[in-house]
Parts: sequence; structure tokens; C-alpha cells
Amino acid sequence: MRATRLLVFLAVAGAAYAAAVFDPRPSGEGVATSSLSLPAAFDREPLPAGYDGVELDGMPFVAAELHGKVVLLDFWAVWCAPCITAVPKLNGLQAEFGGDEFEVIGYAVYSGPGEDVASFAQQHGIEYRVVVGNNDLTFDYGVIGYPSYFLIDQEGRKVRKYVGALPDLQERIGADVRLLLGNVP
Amino acid sequence: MRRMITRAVVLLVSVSLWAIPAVHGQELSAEAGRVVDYLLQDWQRQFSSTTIPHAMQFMGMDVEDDLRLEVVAHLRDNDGLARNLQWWGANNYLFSNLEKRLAKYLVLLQKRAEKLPTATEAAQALEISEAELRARMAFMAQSGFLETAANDLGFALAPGFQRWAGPLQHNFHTVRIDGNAPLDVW
Repeated sequence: MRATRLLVFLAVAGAAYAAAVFDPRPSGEGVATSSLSLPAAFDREPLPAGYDGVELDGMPFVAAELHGKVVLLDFWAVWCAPCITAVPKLNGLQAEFGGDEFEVIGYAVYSGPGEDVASFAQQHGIEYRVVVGNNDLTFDYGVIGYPSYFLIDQEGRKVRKYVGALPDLQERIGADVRLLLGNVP
Repeated sequence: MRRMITRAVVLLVSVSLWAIPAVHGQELSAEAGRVVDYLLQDWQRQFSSTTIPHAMQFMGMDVEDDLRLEVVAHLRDNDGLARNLQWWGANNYLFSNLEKRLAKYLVLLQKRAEKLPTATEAAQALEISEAELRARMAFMAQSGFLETAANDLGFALAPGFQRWAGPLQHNFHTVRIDGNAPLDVW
């Protein structure tokens, strides 16, 4: 009896392990992984709302135009010290992956008028696109702390949320971006 | 000479209009003006985010509800006066720490989809008298955060309550640096 229970347990555990390692979905829907240290697949959810805003030159920013790119959406504010600390890391991500396939968007909320945000961005050497965001969106996205980052796939779906000051931000998000772009060695 | 006098009069009128801006079409009272001046000066200090009731306390004034509402109305209408107002909104500066506790308590219950308490339960939870609870809720309803309701508490969160206090969401941080007056920080 005890042996049967043990066998059943091993079978269930084995199935769970196999499910974790092998992603049964066709490529494109999920990201297959070759190592247990990487996630088996991303949970992809529709975004609560489009992250439209205003460019620093006053032109409208339409999030849907980024369809087809992986986007790191950074909810930040000019008064948020950890947001400022993260700037070099975000510059690094933009430099490493930026182009046709990836973009960092600095979505400034509760930060005053666009001129203030623009001068702040220049002062702190921000090298990725900064947008004056819609404050109300923070509630739709469940932003309760700053910075909050959302990794968005090519289809405009949320795949990851990271909150607060992350010491290994560039490595951690970089690994997820690599997976999404299919650049896994 | 006449032109100079005319210019001086125009200048004086402009300066006085700038110094006492209208609040909803009314002139700001002298007391409210003093509180506004205190706040604008206080907020120039790094990290300082002192609230209206604390400013009134630090100035030796009674924390009167009507005066607070007058000040906040002025700050709402003139958010260009300070960056703090553009970042966090005037409402963030209205409530006392007790009112913020009460706000957080009600928001938490709502978030957990729990039934609102009776006034007795709420007063016990916050360790205040029922009379004080009712007075604070009445003030919070006047400010637009609560609304009167036909429930055991007599009040409910008003529509848009999540956005009411801006990104700081009723958090309070009052500090005192040795030898100086207390201040609120963000």
C-alpha cells in the first residue's frame, strides 16, 4: 500500500517536472527553455489599457505603434530616487537590445509638466524614450510603488511585472528580454 | 509724471491680485493666506511635504476644518504654486494623520471586499470615540473623499476614491530633526 502511494507520488511529481521543463505550445505562443533555471513559459495577460501619453516634444504618443516590439514600460516619477538610480541600467538595456525589436519607454507620472520632465531627463542622462504618462493609468495597472516595470511582448501583452529597486535589474530584465526575443543560446 | 503714477497704480493692483488669488471667486482669508505662505516656504526644503493640518499646528493655530477646506480649495485651483502640488495633488495635503488612518482602514476593507463596519466597530478599530469618528467622516465627506450612505457607518467611499489622494495614497511620514519644528516628508 505504502509502495503504491510512493509510486503514485513519483508519477505525479514526474509529470509536474516534465510539464515545467517542456513547453507543449508551438513556438510563438510561449518561450521554450533549455534550462531549469529559466522560466518554462511566460504568463501573458492583456494590458488593462493602452499606455498612451504625450511625447516630450508635445506630440501624442500612441502605444499601439509599438506593436511588434518587446517593450519595457517603466512607470517612474521625477521625485522617485530608486527610479533615478535605475537610469544607467535602463540605458544599458536600451543600448543592448534597442532597435526594431525592443524599446524602453520611461512613462513619467505625477511629475508635472512636460518641460519639467524633459529637463529632468536631460539632467539625468536618460537615453531612451520618455513619455509624459496618464496618471490615472497607475490605478489601472495596479502600480503601488515606484519604479514599476512592465515587460510587454510583441503582441502587446504583459509578460512580467517588476517592482522597486532591483539590484540586478539589467541582468534580470535582460534575461527575460532575451527569452522573448528568442535569443536564448 | 501722470503716466508714472498710472503705471505704479497698475503695478500695485497687479501685485495685490497676485498675492491674494481668488478661491472659487472668493478672496482668500488672511488666515488661509498665512497657512498657504507657510506651506509654500516649507515645501522649498528638500523632501518636505508638510500637510495643511500640521502647518496650522506648527503655526500655533487651531486645526479648523473650514479653514483647511479653504486652503485646499485654493491649492487645488493654483497647482502651479509648487511642484509638490503638481506631483501629488492638493488633496494629499488635506487630511490629518488620524483621517489618513481612517481612509486607509476603509480602503483596505473595500479592497478585501469586506462589509463596512458599524460606527462602533470602526471607532474601536481606530481607538477613537464614536463622536470623533463621526466628525472626521463628516469632514472627509465634505472634502469629497467619502459620501453619505444608508449603511451602518453612515458613510461610504465616494466614486473615484482611489485617485483622490494621488500617488502617496494617504501615507504619512512626520519627522522631527533635533531642535527644529516637525515636518512631513515624502
